[in-house]
Amino acid sequence: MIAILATSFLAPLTESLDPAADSVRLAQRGDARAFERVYRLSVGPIHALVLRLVGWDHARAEDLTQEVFVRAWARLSGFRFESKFSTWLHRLALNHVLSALRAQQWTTVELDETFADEEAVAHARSASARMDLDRLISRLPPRARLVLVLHEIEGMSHPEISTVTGMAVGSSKAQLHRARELLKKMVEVPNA
Amino acid sequence: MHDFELDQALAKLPRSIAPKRDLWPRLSAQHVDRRGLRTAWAMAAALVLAVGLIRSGLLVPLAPAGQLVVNQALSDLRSAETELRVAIRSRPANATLNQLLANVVRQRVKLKLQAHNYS
Repeated sequence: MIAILATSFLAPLTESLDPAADSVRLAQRGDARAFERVYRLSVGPIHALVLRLVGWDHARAEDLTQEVFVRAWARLSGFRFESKFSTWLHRLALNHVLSALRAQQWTTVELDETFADEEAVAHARSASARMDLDRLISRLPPRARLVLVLHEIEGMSHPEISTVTGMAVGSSKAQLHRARELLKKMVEVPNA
Repeated sequence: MHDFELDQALAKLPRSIAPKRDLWPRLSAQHVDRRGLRTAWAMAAALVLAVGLIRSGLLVPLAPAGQLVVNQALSDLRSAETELRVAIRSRPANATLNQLLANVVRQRVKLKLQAHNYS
């Protein structure tokens, strides 16, 4: 009961703080122009998330970003303003990208951990002076990159990461530590 | 690099990156424009059927459960009416859509009168 009361009380507040709320409500009624406004407001953050998760593969990221908005349009009537629209859309995007990555066995492949780490560092160091941090992140092993992006850039907690990825909380923490250590090594320019 | 420096560098990463090309035209042409019409058609057809069932006695609006059914149907009719009006805005000359809208409005008024008589 308290949860229901809290939800009904908070929903209008959440809605009033959400810059996309009015357009979302119109789009839910089939207004394509309103959905275009929603798209224009949201595409940047969604594409940034997708791009990082697929390791800066632009063509793949654009396909996935488009698919996210197709799904959003199809499922928009199910959005109840119980959270910010951007939160709902981010979750939808994350689930879609993770499904796509799992389909190509991207996150489930058992990598030779040592080899993967050494290779990532060596590859990145060779060009570290001219690479920005995003490029270095794209060189991380897949699971380490996934956790780093979700935790450090998207602001998700380890329990949240565990929920969406199916990874244990302990594994999530370990992967984050691994990613951070690898990044620190990558940016160190080797002594000539 | 220390943890603090890494945290600073991560915090500076852009949270928004635009796609290299505008995805909207293809998205709109292939998916969005078509759904409005499909949704309006589907809702209108389903509601005409539901209201028909209520009026023919196959779905008896007995209080309180029946009242809930009627209230839900009224709410759905209002949604269908809104969807149809939006669809008509982009296709004002579409006779079928206009006819559907007229039917939905008529059904809503009738159902409201019916609900009033039951209460």
